[in-house]
Amino acid sequence: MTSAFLFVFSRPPHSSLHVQEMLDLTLTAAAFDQNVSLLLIDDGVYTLRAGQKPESRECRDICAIFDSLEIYDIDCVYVEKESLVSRGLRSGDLGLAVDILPRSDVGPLMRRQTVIVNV
Amino acid sequence: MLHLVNFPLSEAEAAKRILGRVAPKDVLLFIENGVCALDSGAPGAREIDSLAEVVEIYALLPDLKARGIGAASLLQCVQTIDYTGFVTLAVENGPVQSWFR
Amino acid sequence: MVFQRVKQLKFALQVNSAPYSSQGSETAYRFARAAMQLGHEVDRVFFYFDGVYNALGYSAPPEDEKNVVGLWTTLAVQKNIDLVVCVSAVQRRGWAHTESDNEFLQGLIAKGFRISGLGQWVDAAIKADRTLTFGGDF
Repeated sequence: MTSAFLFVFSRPPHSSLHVQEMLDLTLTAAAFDQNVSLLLIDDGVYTLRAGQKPESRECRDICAIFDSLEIYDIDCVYVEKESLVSRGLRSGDLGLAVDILPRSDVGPLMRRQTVIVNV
Repeated sequence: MLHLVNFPLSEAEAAKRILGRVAPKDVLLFIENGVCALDSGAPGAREIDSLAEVVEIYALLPDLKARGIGAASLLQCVQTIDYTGFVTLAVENGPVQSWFR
Repeated sequence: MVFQRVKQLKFALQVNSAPYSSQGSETAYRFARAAMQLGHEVDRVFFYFDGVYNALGYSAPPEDEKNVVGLWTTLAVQKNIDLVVCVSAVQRRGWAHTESDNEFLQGLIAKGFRISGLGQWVDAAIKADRTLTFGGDF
């Protein structure tokens, strides 16, 4: 059976382990051959900001993990445009090529899912 | 689909941000501290009221009662339900997205 | 007489917050109980992130306060639902090491809970008609 899973990253990265634990969940769903997408909104857009120096606080390289998602057949990483703009960011400020979508498309994206995880 | 909101939407832009991702015919249920957003004087009340034209808006009654929000101050567009009603909304409106803080 | 067919669904729940630091666990518990009363199935509740603290068996609030861990244990015993605590999340938080600790940590892990892997959540979510997450405030 294949279900559509959407993992929503809406909190700023670092400070806690929630990005790591969300990614663990994401990769497990992918390992079960499910249809997996990721969506970055609100402060979650900082997750993929380019130029992070993970060694400065001995944490994992989040951009590198996101970069490796393709190996797990996860191609869909969406970022909400309004969340970027309201933080003075553009897609070029992100460390990964992503699909940018407007806020009005977030609802329709969610409606196509079976399971949505947002913590 | 069903959207759950568990925080009061009181910081700047919060109502605009969350409600802007809710589409017509979706269903919105406020639970836990989220019910504070439905007090008629709350910061996001006007946005919630105008969304009510296209979206059904519910609040979990035990959470309203616990926080002292009664019929007199509750936004008129809000229908109150108990946990049985919560389950029924989830049954009839998949998938379920949690807007939590 | 027309018999109305009542839609009966299968639910999977995920609890992501510790008891007492947010209301999420209690809301999930009340949702699960109401769902079963209406004839729906709640096969598994998966405890992840700080939600793993819901399974600490030595939780002992004063008698005049609610006992969230105890509520889950009672539900598991009465209704036979599977309460699964994520092994990697408990490893990080330092109160168990492996799935086989289930046998050795009797008492530390509250009755009705078991430690297992993330695959248990994915499996439940795939089989369920609806998956809900509860938590917040961490």
